[in-house]
Amino acid sequence: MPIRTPRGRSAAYRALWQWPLRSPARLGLTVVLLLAVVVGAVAGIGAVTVRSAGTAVASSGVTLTPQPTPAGRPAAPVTPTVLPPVPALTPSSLPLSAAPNPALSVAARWAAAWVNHPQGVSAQQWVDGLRPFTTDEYLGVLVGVDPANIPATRVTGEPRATKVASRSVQVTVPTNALTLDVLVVLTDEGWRVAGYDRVS
Amino acid sequence: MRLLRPLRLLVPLVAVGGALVIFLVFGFLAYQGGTGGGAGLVPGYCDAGLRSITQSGSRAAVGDSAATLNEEQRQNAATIIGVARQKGAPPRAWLVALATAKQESDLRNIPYGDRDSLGLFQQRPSQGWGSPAQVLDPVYSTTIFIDRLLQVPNWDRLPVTVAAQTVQRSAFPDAYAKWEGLAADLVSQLAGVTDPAGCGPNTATLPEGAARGAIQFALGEVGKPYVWGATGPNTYDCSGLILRAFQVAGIDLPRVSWQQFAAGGHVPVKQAQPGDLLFYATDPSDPATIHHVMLYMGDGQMVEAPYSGESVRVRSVPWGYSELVPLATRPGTTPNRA
Repeated sequence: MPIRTPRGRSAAYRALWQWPLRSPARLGLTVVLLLAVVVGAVAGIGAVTVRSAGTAVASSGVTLTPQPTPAGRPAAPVTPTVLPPVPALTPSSLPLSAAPNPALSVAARWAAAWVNHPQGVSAQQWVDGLRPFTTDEYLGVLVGVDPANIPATRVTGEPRATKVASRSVQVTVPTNALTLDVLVVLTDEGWRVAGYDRVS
Repeated sequence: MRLLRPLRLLVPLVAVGGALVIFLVFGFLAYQGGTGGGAGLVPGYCDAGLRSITQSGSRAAVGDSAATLNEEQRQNAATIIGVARQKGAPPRAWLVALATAKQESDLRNIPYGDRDSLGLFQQRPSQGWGSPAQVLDPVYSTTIFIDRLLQVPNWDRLPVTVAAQTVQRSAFPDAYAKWEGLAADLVSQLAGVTDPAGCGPNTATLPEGAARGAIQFALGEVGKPYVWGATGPNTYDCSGLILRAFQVAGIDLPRVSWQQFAAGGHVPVKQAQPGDLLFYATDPSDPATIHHVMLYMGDGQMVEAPYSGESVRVRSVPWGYSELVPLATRPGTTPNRA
């Protein structure tokens, strides 16, 4: 056992940590105090984070200051909320017989261009055939198609409207492999195809 | 003074304690930042289009959830996830593969198809996908799909349907979008991935700084010419400008303006906040006819890439214009259809 001098820094520390061990009462008091400190710290951190999340909700979006923003990731998720519900936009639908003829004719001509992919046609040539009947935006989607993957080679029937609104018409066009379901919308340039899928 | 001398003993304690506090606080903040976008498949990025599909169900096909698949389909989905995981591909690649296989083969390993298409992904031996026996092997077909997907530049920041189409070059370019919701459901059901869209819990506001970041990006592009189909960096079309602006802010949007309309919660235009999207449609009650998108800056101002012959510009919002859609979209927030 080394000699323990009652003087100096280490003796002072020893006196500190041995203090709770002198009696059961002191030990109990120490445990209670430590618990209080831990609980207080947890509660304090919780309160701080809740408050910062709250200010994030209040301030997001409404400020426009010329300081640079950290590009990259969104800030911490804020308290779970949803915008007040709004009714979805739904156009009033018209009887199928009200489908404008120009819309049906654009669907038919578009389908004819879609099935027209002779051996060796380039993707660009194929898209050029569709261009007069397609919206600018949707042409950007069509350039990703490999015409060699188009299953049909000819249109086999008349276009038929399946859903009609004043400025958008859903049209089906049968081909020798499948039936096309084409969305035709009225644009500043007239009726144009803005989307399609196969009828499943 | 003598009384205070014992306090010197506390100096090392305070030093150690202080270091500990600093360490913990920084760790806590870093953790918060790191999970800022939720447990998404691409850390820190919110796929606003995927969220709108997974949470509103508006565009999802009828009854498509992991629970409605039969045993064979679930088996094949599990195989796809297993193979992709073993290759070290991240969960977003599993999701793209699942949406693709659902569209191509209904998640069945079919020994037939259009012309020489075969198997889960309907790969064509004549187009360089492998021998018929190979493309009919689910492990091989998943492997080659994942290989080609990972070669697509920026594949994990593209909308799921665009990433799938870039690999498949299908005759139905956006057909995969129908299955994004199902694929996200499968990834969470079979592999335990939470929040596949990465947009975090329900939100009614943009993440802090996102609106400012997007607006500042767009303002930095003012004067660059409008070219249809362009997504920067020197020319833009309307949705291309919005796409890039929000990418900078950590939110990934779909490519086309009517899809961007669906990529978040809606507010009446008069309640728009900076960072919300405004739209023009030839029939403002019909989202199918949306043909233009603008970024609202606040105070009645907006920034847009208007049309051919014009440049990116700042203008006052024409609140009375007959084509202005009455709802604005707050990208990446929780869908709120009544």
